[in-house]
Amino acid sequence: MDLNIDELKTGLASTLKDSLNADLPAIKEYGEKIIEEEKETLETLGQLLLSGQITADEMKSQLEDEKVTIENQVRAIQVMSTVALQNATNAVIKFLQDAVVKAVQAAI
Amino acid sequence: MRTNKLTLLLVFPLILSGCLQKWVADYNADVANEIVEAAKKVDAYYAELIEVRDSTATLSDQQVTSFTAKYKAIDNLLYGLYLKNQSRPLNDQSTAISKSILENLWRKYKGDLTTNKALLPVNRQRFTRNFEALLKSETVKEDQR
Repeated sequence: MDLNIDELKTGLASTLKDSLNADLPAIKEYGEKIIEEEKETLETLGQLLLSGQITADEMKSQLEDEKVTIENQVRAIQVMSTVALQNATNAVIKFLQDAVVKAVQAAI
Repeated sequence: MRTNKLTLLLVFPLILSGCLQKWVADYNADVANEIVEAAKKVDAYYAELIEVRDSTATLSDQQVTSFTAKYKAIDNLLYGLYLKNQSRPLNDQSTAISKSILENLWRKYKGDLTTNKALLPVNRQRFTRNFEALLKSETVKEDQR
């Protein structure tokens, strides 16, 4: 049984890169959306406070709710990141599996 | 010797496939649909509430009764969604988000019948953002490879 280590290393790196490239853009895009929405919400709340339409206590309560919202959005990012890492790990395992099978087949 | 090699050929893939990692729950289309339904109901609740409170200074008893019934129905829906998420293995984050939407937002606002009118659109939008987080944490499970 013969495994070419250089080919294996190149293949592993390429597999890992392809898998992460498939999943990471969606995480980045959602992260940017979260930041943009947070900015807009804080601007709206700031305007409401400055114009006297809401009180300082109401602002404080709203900021607590924003904290809750950010926590939930970060949880969603955690799930997306976990799926991306799981996919990358499994892609590497499948690549190794294929490499071993090919090497064993060649040796038979 | 040939038998040993054939054994290797059969056993190696089995050993390696046993190494495949599973860190996140399977995608559940029913749960994804329920999230969308809950989000639509909350949004419709706020659309109606904003319209009614814009047109009247004080809600009538009949309007309060109507909104309270809708509030309770949505509360029930959100509680069911939380329980469904909680019952699934490898689903801690989705469970936490659905619990947070129910307890930290929906039950905190209590239907927003007496909340400052100026804050209703903000609260409505906040629910949209939280439901989007919950939906994303579900639909991304479909991308598992």
